[in-house]
Amino acid sequence: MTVVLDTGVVVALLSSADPRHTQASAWLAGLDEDLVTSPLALAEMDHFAAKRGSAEGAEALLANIESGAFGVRWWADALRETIDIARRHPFAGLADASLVALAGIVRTNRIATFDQHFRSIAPVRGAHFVLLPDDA
Amino acid sequence: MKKTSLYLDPDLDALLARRADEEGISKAEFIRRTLQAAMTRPTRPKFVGIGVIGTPSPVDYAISENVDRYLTETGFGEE
Repeated sequence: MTVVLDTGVVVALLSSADPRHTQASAWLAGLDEDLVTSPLALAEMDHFAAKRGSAEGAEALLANIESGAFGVRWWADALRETIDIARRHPFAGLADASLVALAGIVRTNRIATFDQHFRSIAPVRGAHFVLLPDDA
Repeated sequence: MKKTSLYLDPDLDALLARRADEEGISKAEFIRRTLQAAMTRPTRPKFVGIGVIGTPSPVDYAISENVDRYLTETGFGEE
């Protein structure tokens, strides 16, 4: 199964000072599933890397995209589906809505995030999202 | 080889037959090759740069848990 990747987990992975760094790193080390995110979340990661990160942080983000350490996916109906979800969950914002839509496309309810908002959003598949690494 | 039976959606069955014909192989052989490829797919490349940002956090909250707040405070989308 695929895991959808939210910005916060990438933040935790890249930042040794982040309180979630050890947890996120340990979880990733044991993960055997593919990771995928949306271009909207990728823009957030890029902003973080530029603002908070060093040149090494920005380069690490690019290297991970380039290598396929996590995929970036968009599809023909992505915008329509993202807008529909954002309208149903105004608190979520477009980036989070795009991840919910992406989870439907890759047929998963597993999302790597520290954003507890996802607990109140119903996935396309499954009764609720499994938030990783907390729910692992 | 071990004999296995499975139910297929008629549309998928037709697609498999067409693809197999295009490649000049039997449908069974096409299914075997497809399954073999799925089972031997390369592992996910290693995530690099773990902990590469080593400087202390500039804020008094966990950015990983408050991404939206951090994005707002740092002008995401304004440049």
